[in-house]
Amino acid sequence: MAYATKVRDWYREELAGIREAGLFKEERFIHSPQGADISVEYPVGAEGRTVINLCANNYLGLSSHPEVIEAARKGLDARGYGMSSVRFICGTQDIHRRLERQLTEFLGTEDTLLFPSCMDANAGVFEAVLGEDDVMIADRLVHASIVDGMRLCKAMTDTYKHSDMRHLESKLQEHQDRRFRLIITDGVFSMDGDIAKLDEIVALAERYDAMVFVDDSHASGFIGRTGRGTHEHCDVLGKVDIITTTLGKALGGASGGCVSGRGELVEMCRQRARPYLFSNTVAPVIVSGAIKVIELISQSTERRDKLEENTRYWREGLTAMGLDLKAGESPIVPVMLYNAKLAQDMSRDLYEEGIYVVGFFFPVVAKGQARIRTQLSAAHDRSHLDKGLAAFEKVGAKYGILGKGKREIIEAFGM
Amino acid sequence: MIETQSIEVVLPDEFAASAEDLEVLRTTFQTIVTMARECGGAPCRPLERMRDDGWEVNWGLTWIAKAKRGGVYEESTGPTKEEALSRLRQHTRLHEADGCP
Repeated sequence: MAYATKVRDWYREELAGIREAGLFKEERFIHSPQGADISVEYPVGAEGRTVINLCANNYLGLSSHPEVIEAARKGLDARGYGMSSVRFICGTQDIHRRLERQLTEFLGTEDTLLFPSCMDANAGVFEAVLGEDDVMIADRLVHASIVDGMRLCKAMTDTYKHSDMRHLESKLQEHQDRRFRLIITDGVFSMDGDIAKLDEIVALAERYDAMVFVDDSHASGFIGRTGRGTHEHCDVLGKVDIITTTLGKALGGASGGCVSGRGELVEMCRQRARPYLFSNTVAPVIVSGAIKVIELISQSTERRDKLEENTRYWREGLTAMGLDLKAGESPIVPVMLYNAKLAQDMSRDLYEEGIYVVGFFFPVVAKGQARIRTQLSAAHDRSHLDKGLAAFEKVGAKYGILGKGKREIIEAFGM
Repeated sequence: MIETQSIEVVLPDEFAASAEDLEVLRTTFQTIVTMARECGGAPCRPLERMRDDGWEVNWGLTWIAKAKRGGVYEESTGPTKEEALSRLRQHTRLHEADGCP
């Protein structure tokens, strides 16, 4: 038997090490649709309880929207459950192309290609469009899926300090001998919720003959005046060469992702991106729901406007009670605690108060940057936010961190 | 059985070899032996097979730099040690934190 005792023991020890390091990830079972209020079984076996969800990527509150569910149901009836094929054999339906055209129009690009996820889009895009004569210059805080995609690509890897435009410029100067230069950034960074300086990045790209790549997963649907994304927010619509984004967050929250951008680059992905070529087509039911999502957000900005207002109210409330926040304007609002145990203890106490949030600490975030990441949704009403604020105030007072800055929190709890 | 051959290099008293010096010495001699015995005279079969399969194959000696931290492993190659390490540094830069989903 290949799976010998010594092999089993090795894996068991490895898992024990992960657990001892406090890095073991445990799933919490949810017994309801995704929404502002969810029913959670935690710990496993415990009686389910209804809590306010402040940690989902359900930014526009469309994950369980009745019109999206109805569209998905109709799609299921009309186009079936699965396609049992990759796209280019017999897995492309008319609705796949329809959704791609809708996304192209919404994002203001030339063409779009669906992937099973944005993780897959990022894993495949670089290898498809770059070669060994090129260079990828990435912000050092890009999403893990981009890191993996870069590792699969033979182009040279380089990085610049987070959002440091002078450093990026020096890197662009350094790599003028390369055939192509691709600047790589998240649109909204998932840890801190800050927005990339896309206007400055595009200006540098034009000056130094580089292409621009943006992962707008935490932006598509709500960042920018009409929710087009970071490129709209920074007034560079049509100037970003590659956008990847997900259908798994604001855009219905099911699954699926895409590469959108210059026609030739998208076509190169259609021909060469391995996650597209070798994995199944996005299921018709998801495509049908996503088509409705794009219709809804193209018709009205009501949801992104409500999300913006919720974010403003939440930030103001937390700031007024004296919590230390990462500055920003996106619906990712990190409450900085700096100490891993404090982040864990507070998130546990908040759960007891009926608020579902998660503490993040190293290695998820940098050392000494432990925090509770809160995420707003258009599904939240004022009553949800007020209850959340009251809980943060109660728990924050318990730990004596209200009105305390970074230095004082670290002095009290360590880093 | 072939008798093992070895070369002894006497270092001057005042010469304090660093770990890096010893690595260069070891690699240099290993390269000489490898090239003489493996692909020096006879055809190199893996190389020939790849070329038979239509691959355009180039090979050469290079520096390799490796880094491991916890479960993360990265490696880079380069024509100089500095370049290999510089490239490796850029790869490790992308692991400052695992990041949030």
